[in-house]
Amino acid sequence: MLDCESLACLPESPLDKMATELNVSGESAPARPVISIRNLSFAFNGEANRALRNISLDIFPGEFVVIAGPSGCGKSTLSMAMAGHIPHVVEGRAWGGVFLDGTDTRQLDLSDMAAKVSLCQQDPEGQFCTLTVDDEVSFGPENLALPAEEVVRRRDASLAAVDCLHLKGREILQLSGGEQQRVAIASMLAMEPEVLILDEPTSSLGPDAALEVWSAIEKLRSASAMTIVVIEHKLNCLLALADRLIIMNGGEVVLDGPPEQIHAQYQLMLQPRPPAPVPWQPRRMPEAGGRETIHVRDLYFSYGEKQILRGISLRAEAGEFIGIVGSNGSGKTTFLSCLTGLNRSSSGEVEVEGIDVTRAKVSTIARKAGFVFQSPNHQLFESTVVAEVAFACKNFGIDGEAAARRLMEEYGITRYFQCHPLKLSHGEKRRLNLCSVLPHDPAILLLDEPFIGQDAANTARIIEDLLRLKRAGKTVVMVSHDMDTVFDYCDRVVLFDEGRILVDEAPAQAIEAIRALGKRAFLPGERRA
Amino acid sequence: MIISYAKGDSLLHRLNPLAKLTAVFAACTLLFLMGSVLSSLATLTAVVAVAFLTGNQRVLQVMRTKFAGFLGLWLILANAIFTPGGKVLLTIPLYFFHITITDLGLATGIIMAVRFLAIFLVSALFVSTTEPAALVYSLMRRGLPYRYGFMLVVMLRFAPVFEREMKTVSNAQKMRGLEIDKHGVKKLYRSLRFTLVPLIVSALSKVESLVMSMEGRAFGYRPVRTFTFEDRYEPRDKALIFVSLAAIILVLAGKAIGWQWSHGPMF
Repeated sequence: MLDCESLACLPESPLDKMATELNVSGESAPARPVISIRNLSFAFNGEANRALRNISLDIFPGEFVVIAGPSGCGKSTLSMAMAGHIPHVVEGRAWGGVFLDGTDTRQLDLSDMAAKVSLCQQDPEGQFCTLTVDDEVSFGPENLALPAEEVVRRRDASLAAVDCLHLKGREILQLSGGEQQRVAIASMLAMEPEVLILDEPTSSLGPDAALEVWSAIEKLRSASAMTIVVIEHKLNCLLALADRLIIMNGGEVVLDGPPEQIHAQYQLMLQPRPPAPVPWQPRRMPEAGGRETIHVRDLYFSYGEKQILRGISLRAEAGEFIGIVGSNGSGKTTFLSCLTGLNRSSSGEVEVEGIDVTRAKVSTIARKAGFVFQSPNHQLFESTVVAEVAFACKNFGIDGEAAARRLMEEYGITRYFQCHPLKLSHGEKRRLNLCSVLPHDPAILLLDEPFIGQDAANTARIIEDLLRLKRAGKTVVMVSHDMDTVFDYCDRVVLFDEGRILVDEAPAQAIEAIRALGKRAFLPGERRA
Repeated sequence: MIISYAKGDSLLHRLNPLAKLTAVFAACTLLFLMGSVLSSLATLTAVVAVAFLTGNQRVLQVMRTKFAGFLGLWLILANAIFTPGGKVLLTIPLYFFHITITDLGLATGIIMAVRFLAIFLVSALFVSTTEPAALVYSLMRRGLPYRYGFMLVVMLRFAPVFEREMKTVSNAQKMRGLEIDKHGVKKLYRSLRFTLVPLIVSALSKVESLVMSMEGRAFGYRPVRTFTFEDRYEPRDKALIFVSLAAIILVLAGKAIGWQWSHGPMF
């Protein structure tokens, strides 16, 4: 393991050269890294494999660094090491060292580090520990026992930095996804750190909310000299902001350099490649003779006094692949729940495969429609992968053993036959979720955000799976925030807005309609400008 | 009927949480110290009057619930039948034994039922008009160690999250054909097994995330912390605390010097 002295003796690396080039002040002396990682390897307790392997990296003051790479490549683990959570909170075996302003993080208190490096995690909801915006943003400075006036100053300044001053006094639970993420960032900014690390800050947000967050980060970048490190799968919005792009794979840094150049190299590395986009066709009309599988007319639904769906009408045929898009809270997931009878509509007609959903039992609809929910872990019930795949058949009293084995082979998870489902990676769990709703052969597949937390390779695999199901004559209805995927592969794009359908068109026409509505966040990346 | 905090601007809502807690404590203590039907009924009437006068009569619906009615009736009957002593009011002859109802048994039953209703009501009034987080912050400002206080805050924070997650897990089960609404021990076991595992997994991942978030913001690294929460005590709060404590002291002092708070079981 290295100490501070040995760090000082290290020869000048290519990273040091880059630091000299990036020294914005134009001074000849190389900038001293704010975070310096030397030969860092790390294995979680109970894990034989190392999550990080021999990483050496310098982050310089004022840099905007983006770290990307496939799921499970060690990006989040690296962020925890940079923020000092490894080794102070997360236990495991570590080799090498992380140096913060030249001091080994093992020699620092987490509270000392808290004022220098802040890590904003992927799920804002999971990291809030109080009930109101004010309490949450004040939480860190209060823990530092700062004077009350200073706490209030920091709170207001942090909220202003992410354009959230108007949220003062609000309850956390009432905030939208984008607001939650910005408040999470503000709560970290209130520590006035030198380095802010953001771990996939927009992964669960709708495109409009994601734009809000990126714009807040852009503002932060231009208004302060803060060092910002962002971990992200989707690089479209970030390439213009970043000074440097780092690509990780298998726990190692494999590429590091100027964003455009590294991004081009990364694209070539991706395996499997995403399938070719489906050529855009004019929208098929259900009256054209296809078998109607979903029929919804004038559907209304409310939670208590809050009206969620307001007069939804939609029809779908066998073999159609429909992409539903819209802001967080626009009623997309509620609509899927109404299709299955999990939510009973206030009024309107809902028929699935000719069955009146408003009167049928959920188990009756469940035989006709498979539902893949947003979080993989909420829908894993059994202790082996094979039992998980056969779970629905067992409950329906169908012999699903043969179908389960065939599907596991088709979806490439046969090698995990007797494994516990929770041991699978995030991407494998997603494929298991999809595989588990198929053995009883439902005609309709409903998917809620299947690509959240998935890297490009896993996304490509899932798209292949969905296109295969479409070709097999299934109706696939997918709620997604991934506009590029929806426009590239779906037959129809349906835009939800405050419980109403604003657009229901084939992709080419949907682009025109969405552009006319001025909702550019819901256009595919290259059409947004 | 579930009693929970309901936002409002009534006098009770505006009172300091700790002043209200002191009043609740005083009301419950007095109910036990002054053991007659009349004094218990007087306390119950006072609680009902407070609910009406402060515009929180919604809370009185608890008195109309089946649970309150059944428990009140059961308390009266059980005490009337099984409390020995007192003047015999009624004897019901049965084949093997007689049931004897005395004035002492009946009075004890009524006192117990009225006490139960009064405590139930006063607690409901407190819960429905007190923001839980404000109560915890007030307690921390008054000396509760903040590490324990934040355990309560975190519980309050995550209760609705886990409620929502439980609903999602239940929906996922239904969509895979697990009918948890069916009865029977085996069904109950299956339901618990298939619900607990996903919930525990989710809870554990949230715990890790929460620990990193809290420790990453220096939680627990100073013996004291700053509170920007304003724990205000208006004159009305101070008056309520004074009256509550004075009432307890008065009754206790009276007991100590031998004052008779009740003349017979009824009065």
